Amino acid sequence: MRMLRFFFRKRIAEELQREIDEHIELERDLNLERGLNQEEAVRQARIKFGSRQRVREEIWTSNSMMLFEKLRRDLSYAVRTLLRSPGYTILAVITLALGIGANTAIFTVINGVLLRPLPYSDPGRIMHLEQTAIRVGRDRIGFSVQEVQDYRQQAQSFSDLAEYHSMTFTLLGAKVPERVVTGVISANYFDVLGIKPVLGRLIHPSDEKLNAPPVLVLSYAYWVKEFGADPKILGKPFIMKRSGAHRDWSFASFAGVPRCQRCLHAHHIVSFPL
Amino acid sequence: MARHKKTSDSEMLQGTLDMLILKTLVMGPAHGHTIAHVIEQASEDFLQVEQGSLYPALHRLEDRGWLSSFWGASENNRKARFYKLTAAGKRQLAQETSRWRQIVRAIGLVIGEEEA
Repeated sequence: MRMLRFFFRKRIAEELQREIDEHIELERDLNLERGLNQEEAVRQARIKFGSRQRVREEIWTSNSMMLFEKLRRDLSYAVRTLLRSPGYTILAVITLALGIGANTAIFTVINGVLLRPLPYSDPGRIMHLEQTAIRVGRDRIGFSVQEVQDYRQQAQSFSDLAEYHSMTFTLLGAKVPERVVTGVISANYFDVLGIKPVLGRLIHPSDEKLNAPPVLVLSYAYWVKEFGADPKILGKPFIMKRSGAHRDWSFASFAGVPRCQRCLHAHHIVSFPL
Repeated sequence: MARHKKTSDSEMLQGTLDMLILKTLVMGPAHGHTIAHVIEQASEDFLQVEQGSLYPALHRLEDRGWLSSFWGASENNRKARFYKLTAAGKRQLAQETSRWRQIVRAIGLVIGEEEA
C-alpha cells in the first residue's frame, strides 16, 4: 500500500488540491448564508481551514519514501554537476568504457581458452608435448616415428600416448571441394582423450593396420555445418587430395563423429589414422 | 490566557482526532467538510477542529485501511470526495473507544470527584 502511494504521489496531490478547493467553497457558501459578503466569506473560510500549503506538504511527505527521495536527489545533483564540466565527464566516461571493454574482452578470451576445463574426460591429466631443436630455430619440429616409439616404450609418466599432426587437404565428396584442416592422428587419439562418438564410431587401433581401409572422422561442427547433421553420412565415400603429395587418399568409409562441441582442435577436423 | 487554553485543547484533540473521525463516519459516509462540522456541532462547539488538519488524518486513516474513499456528489451537486468506514475501521473504533474510556476513568480516579 505504501509503495503504491509513492508512485501515485502526483495524482494524489492533484486530487487533494481539488478536495481542499471543494472544502473551501463549501465553507464559503455557509459563510455567505451567514450573511458575510463574498470576499469575507472566502477569507473566513480560508482562515478556518488553516494553512493549505502545510496540509499539502504534510500529505506529500507522508507519501514519500525518504530513502528513495534522498537517493534520487543525490543522483540528480551528481548528474547536474557532471554536466557542468562536459569535457571532464566525456573523458572519464571514455576512459571507463575503454577500461571495462578491454577487461571484458581479455577475460572472455582467457576464460574460453584457459580457464574452462577441456571437454575431455579427466582433463587435468592431459599433457601436450612439443619439441624444438634449439640450434635449428625456434619453431616446433615434429617427433619422428622412432622418437614416438621411444616415448611410448620408455616414458614412465604417461599412461598413454597419442599422436596428432595437422595438415591441410582438399576434401571431395562434400557439396563443393573444400580445403579442410585435418588432424592426422594415431588410432588411440580418441581413446586417450576420452571422446565418444555422436554417430558411428571413432578410430580404433584396427584401423592402423596396413591393410585396413582408410577411415575419416568428421568434427561435430563441420558435420553440422556442411551436412546439416545428416546421419546418412556414415559410410559415404570421400576423397582427400593434397597438392604435391605423392598420392591421394581415398576413403571408403566415413566412420563417425566425435562428440565434442568445443575440442581443443576444433577446426574442420577430419581425422584419419596414420 | 485564552491562547494557552486553546493550544492545549487542540493538542489533546489531535491525539484523539482519529477516533472522532471514525465515530463520525459510523452514521454513514461523508466528505471532509461535513465531518469537520459534525464534530464541531456534536461537541456543542467545544471542539474546534482546525479543518486543515483533518485531511492528513483522513489520508492516514485511509492508508491504514480503516476508511475507504470514493468521489461522489455533495449537497449542492458538486463533486466531492466521500469517506466510508470499513469493517476494519469499525473494529479499530471500538478498540480506541474502550481505551479512551479507560484512560478517562483512570484520570478521573486520580483527580478525584468533581467539586460541585
